[in-house]
Amino acid sequence: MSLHLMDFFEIRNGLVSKEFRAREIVSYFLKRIEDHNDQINAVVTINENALRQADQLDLRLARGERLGPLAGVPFVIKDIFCTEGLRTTACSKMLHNFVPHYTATAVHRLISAGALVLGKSSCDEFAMGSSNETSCFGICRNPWDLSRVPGGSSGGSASAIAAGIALGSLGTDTGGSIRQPAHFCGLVGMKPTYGRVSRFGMIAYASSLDQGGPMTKRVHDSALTLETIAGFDSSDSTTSKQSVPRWSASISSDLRSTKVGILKEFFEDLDPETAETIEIAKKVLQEAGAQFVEVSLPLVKKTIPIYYIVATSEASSNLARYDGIRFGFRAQGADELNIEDFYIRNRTLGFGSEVRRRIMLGTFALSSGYYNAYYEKACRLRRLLQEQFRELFCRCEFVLAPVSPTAAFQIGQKIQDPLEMYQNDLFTTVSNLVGLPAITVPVKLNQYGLPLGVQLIGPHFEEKRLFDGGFAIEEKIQFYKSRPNGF
Amino acid sequence: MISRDDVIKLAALARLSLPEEEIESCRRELSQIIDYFNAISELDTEGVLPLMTPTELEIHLREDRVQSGGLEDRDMNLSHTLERVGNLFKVPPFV
Amino acid sequence: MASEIFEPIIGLEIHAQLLTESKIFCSCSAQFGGGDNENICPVCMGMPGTLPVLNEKVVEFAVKTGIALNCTICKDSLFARKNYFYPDLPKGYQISQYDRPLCSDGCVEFFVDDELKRVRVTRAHLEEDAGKSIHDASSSLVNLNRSGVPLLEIVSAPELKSPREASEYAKEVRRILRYTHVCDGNLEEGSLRCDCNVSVRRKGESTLGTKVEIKNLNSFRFIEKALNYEIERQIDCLTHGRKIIQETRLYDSEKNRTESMRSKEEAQDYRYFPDPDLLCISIDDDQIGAQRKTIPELPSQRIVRWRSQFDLSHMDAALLADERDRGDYFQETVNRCGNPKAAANWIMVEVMGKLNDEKKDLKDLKFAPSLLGELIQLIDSKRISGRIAKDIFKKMWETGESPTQIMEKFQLNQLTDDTQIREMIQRVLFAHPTEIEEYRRGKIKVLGFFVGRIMKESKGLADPQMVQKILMEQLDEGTKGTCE
Repeated sequence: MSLHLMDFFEIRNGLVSKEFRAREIVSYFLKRIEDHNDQINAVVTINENALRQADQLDLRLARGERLGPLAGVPFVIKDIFCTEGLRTTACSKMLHNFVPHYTATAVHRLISAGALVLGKSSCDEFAMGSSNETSCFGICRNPWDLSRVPGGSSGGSASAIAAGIALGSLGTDTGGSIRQPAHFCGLVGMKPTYGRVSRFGMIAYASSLDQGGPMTKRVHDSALTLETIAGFDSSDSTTSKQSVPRWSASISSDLRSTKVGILKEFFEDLDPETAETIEIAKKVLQEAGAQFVEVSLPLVKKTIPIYYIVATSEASSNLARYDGIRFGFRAQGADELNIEDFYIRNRTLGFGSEVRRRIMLGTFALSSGYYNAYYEKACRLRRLLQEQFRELFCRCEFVLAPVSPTAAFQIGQKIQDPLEMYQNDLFTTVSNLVGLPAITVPVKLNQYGLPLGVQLIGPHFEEKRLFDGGFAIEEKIQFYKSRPNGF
Repeated sequence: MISRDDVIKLAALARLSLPEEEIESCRRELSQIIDYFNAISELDTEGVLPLMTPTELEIHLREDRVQSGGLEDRDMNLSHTLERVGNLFKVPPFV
Repeated sequence: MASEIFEPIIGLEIHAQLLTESKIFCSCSAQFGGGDNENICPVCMGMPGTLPVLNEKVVEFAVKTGIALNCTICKDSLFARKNYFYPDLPKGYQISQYDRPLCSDGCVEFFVDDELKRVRVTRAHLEEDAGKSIHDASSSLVNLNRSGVPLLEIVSAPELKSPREASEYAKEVRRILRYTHVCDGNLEEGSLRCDCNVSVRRKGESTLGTKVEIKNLNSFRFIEKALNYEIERQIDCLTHGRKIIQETRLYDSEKNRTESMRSKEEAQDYRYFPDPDLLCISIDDDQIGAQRKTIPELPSQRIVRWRSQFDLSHMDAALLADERDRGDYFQETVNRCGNPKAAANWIMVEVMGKLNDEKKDLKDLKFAPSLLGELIQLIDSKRISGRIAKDIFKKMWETGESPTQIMEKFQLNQLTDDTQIREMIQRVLFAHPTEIEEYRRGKIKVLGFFVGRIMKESKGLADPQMVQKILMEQLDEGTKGTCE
């Protein structure tokens, strides 16, 4: 029985109909992690209590209790989410020994729904990166081609699912960090509307941009996961009180009377392979009944600097709490220094170079004399973007766009040049800046056997449209049947 | 374009240190990125209010009741560092 | 004299801890005291992934205070992060307010001696308190109990013109905070903290001089003394051609001088920006109206009214208005008896005196103000004498019974019957012919003896004024008689 080829429905069904037990599910996937994780380095911490928790699920099933919608589904959780009793590091030396005594709300809801947590997945340090090359646990690899990156920052999540060592994952997306790895690894990655998913317990990178979201192989699984974790949380003032629809029950691939926007500026100078991927998706959507309308938003070409100014500014402040005093890395000999040097030593040694770079940039953008020209200016542009998108969505239901300029690139190829790395985020950052929901859906493999996907971007709280559009593509193409060699 | 002094000041503000030999490369790198940031300066934002957060909802208010902290939780709260004296966090002297 | 050429300009920043049960952004207890690090949680410790959630009572108290300070309430104010590193600041930033504070453009009226002054309040904004630490040579120890306690920072315009004015302004703000029950104003415990900004300039100039900040003055006396010293120091500097350095200084109460804090290389860059974890604090007119209704008559308003309506002296009015419960007690007593001067006297002398002796508070009193009013009424209607009233008062203190009840129980009604008093006086006079002789020979002191005897006869109940009058009549008649 190949549990790793199942979708959520099949696994839950198998559990409920007693085909197999939760303990067997966990054992199976722990074995797969044992067999394959060395190749990809996607899982950084195993949940020592996973089997015990599986036993508890089996017990509840035996007692005839009704199980939650995600019962038996094995997840890995991006190591940005705090998990009580389970080491949470943000893949940084700064938190190498941190074991929280509280759990992120999103994870808590997942577990309450019966999901089984296998362990924590790798990511770029403090979620800052597009290639998962800055994790303190070492490089994470793309199962489709081990010499390539899985994307970032939720690279470990994507790599684990693509390799079949977990079925689902919770990632975080600040500038594309769920969608881009999903695209590089042939998966469905969903960034919900800002405010849908609680950020409580999610180690903060950029507060007004971060959103947690699901990474799965199938669209239905993505919808099921999102409706489980979404919803107002009194521990997070930025969560929305909007009701959460049961998306999974009403996904429809009938796109008649749906207008899909093609954002002109996203298609200038597009890589031929990426352009071709879009064409395939376009055809599929057309066959499902959709019509296309060209839209234009010149400002989207400037989203990378706007994004990086806002993100690094917020990050420089969010990361100020890491000083080694109440938790976290405390350098040897730091306590013999004066207080200023104590801070400097702990932070310089605890943070990696990309994190330090972004903290410096953010400190710059907020500093006296520069605040107006950088941070405040970026915020004004943010509002312009929001207004322009509001107008744009009067003309179409959602936008079809590329995810990333290319397919997965080689490990080491871009890490030396931060600016080049930032260009990866060309198509994804706008959703975070405006708070729009966006989904990546896989479409094809390129000539090197690397996955390519497309992105659907919708108006606030209209995730349904994205699930529908995504499903239309999935239903026709059935990319989930493809598997990387050797996994 | 930022200067060497700017880099040193920024590092100090952020409580980070740069070894002497890295200051120049850091300066170049930051300058490059900041120059890239300057692309936004020509854009017209006259009369546009800044947007700080996408949702712009009303703030959520909490009832004034004691529901956290307390003696039972203290050990757990303090468990993340060994550098303590009794129940107080220990740091190098700062006054 | 130098002080005739120069004038000081003073502004005060007062931090008031709000009397809520829980902290501003988490639900830990905000109570003072508690064991080391007992009132903390991941949120106020700044642990990874934690987020602030605003306490509704904090907003209510802040709006209420803003209204009491005559401020405009901002209907969509914002929280901002003030970024700096300090061990008692767990997040590496303090959540405060910068642009768009909750309250602005207010004013406070207060008395300096009996003169009414008015000073503008530039703003009042919300922020969270930091933790506390203790230090020795080898290490510092941090306690985060206080981290996250809600503070309202009240900033005056730089309009206070003397150390005395500054101290009286601060006292008035404290009074207002206590009147509205939003803060207990305890300087020693730190629930009220004052920082001063002071500069000097030549009289007639319109620009402000370089200002110096003096921090953490924990008594009103120290505020005055520190400011006095600092103003002199600054005048001294300027008259000797030296410049004033913009800096922060601490007041040393033992040496009575201000001293420079270990100087920082340059001014801190706090990099304020709106906190993205908290949204706009939305206030509507209904909420403002509701809070406005809960504000009592404020101390300076009371003093003005009592001086004009009740003709009280300023000193008396100020003493009675100093604490809300005392003022309320006084007002209710007057409502009952209509005799403000008597009420003032009884409360200031008898009630406060006895409370002081027994180390008690007004709330420990067994009798309501209406009963004190009743007592005064009994005196005013001559049903009892002032002397008897004091005895009744003692009984009221012990038992809480009404004065009328006590009067009837112990038959302490004043004797005002003319016939009875005359009889009594005649009996006494008849018994003491020698003393009558002495009186007629001019020894006026004997009068006192007679009054004493008569009072004793009547068990103290005779109306002393009537006794005096009738006694004089009888003695004079007698005198007339002998002369014949």
